[in-house]
Amino acid sequence: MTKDENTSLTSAIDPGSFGQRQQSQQGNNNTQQGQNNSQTPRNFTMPVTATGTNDLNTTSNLNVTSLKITSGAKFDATSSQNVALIGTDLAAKNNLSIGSIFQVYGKDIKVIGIFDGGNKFANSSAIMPLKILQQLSSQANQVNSVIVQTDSIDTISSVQDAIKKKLGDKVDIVSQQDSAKQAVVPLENIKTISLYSLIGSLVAGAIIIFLIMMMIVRERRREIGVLKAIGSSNIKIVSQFTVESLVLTLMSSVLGIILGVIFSNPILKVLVSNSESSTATGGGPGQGMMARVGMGFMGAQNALRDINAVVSYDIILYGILVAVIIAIIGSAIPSFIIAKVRPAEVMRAE
Amino acid sequence: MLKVNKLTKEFKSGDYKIAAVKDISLYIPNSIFSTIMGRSGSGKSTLLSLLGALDKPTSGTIEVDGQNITSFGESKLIKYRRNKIGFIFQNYNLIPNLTALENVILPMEFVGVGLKNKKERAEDLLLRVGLSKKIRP
Repeated sequence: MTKDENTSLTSAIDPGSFGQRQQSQQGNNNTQQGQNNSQTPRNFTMPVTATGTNDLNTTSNLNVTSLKITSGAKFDATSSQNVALIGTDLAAKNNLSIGSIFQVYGKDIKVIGIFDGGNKFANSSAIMPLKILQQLSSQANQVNSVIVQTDSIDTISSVQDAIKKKLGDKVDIVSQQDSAKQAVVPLENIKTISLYSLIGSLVAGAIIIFLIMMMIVRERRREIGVLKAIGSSNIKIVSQFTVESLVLTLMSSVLGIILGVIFSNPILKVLVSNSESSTATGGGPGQGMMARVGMGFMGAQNALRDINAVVSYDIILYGILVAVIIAIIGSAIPSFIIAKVRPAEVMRAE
Repeated sequence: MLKVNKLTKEFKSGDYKIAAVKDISLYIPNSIFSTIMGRSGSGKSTLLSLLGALDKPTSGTIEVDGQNITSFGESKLIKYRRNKIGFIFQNYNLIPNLTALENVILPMEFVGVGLKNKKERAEDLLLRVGLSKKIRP
């Protein structure tokens, strides 16, 4: 839409060097024509873009980076009212505020919200209910693009096939599966790193706990000898050392869980950011493709930045269980071995 | 009553065997205060360890109140040490993270003395040996 033809709005974007060249060329042509036809030069103006939508929650089909309502409110997705959201720059350029009226295709449109779209072009555009824009532009039931979002990356192919079967050659279907896969590569990397880290830390933790417990028990051989000499049974000695190591392990586990919960998100952010930068340098198929029918996950890369680590209860319980089992084995076995030896031998060895 | 018959205890040192106690026989009746005396390295501590069932003899027998303790299994030995023997070690062997009172109470734990009695008895024992200042709650 341009101002002079279909709307009362003036674009908030300057023509720039391209526009000035166009303006200059048009001026020359018109001057030449003017010489012939006595016509005045016509000023070049940037068009005002209006996007019709029935889903304000998905920003990928609105030509905006983000949709932040700075004043007013969003319209109902299925609204049949002549209303619009306008970008902050467009509102400033045309002195519009909430409740202001402007014209589109000769009809009055009421401003009910002003948004920040995250970039210059988005802030110079308008968003209207799809049904209204279709009516005003005499394009009932027609759309330029449809974005289909799937529940899972695994179903993209089947959904793509289903759409192709239904609509045939009427539309071009471009899957974002490749770019979606590219987008989740960092997560796959993190998953691999986390898995190896988990296995590594579990093995290292198990060895450390086992050796520490063995060392503690061995250092207290004399105590075991004395306890046996004054009549303690082997079971009592093993129980005492096991309970001691369990208390130590549980206290350490609680401390570890607290530190884990505190540091899991910062570590995840670092891992994501490192993985993103390493995959970004590799590029990938599907980048920059235009889609008539785009298949979901277009915002996957952005979604990765909002990802949060959640330490689930079952993971905590498994972790504690493993630590407890290792602590029991690490303390019970050496204390039992020492307790089986005659007290005099144990004390003589000191 | 304590009766020891041809008691021997040997220690291995490489290919050699050293007899710390060799063919000892003795008899100590009930209610007798006995002292074992001898040179350093003559086997006094080894003999006491054997009598207190802290160690196993190489050969010979030890009878206490008519029972041959050298034939006892592990559980019987534990009961014997718990109920019949009071052992004061050469280097004390106290449990370092327990107080003096708790160290005295500890053997009573294994015998099953009541909580109140344990404390009273331990305090009384410390008082009798002049360690009342070491009693801390």
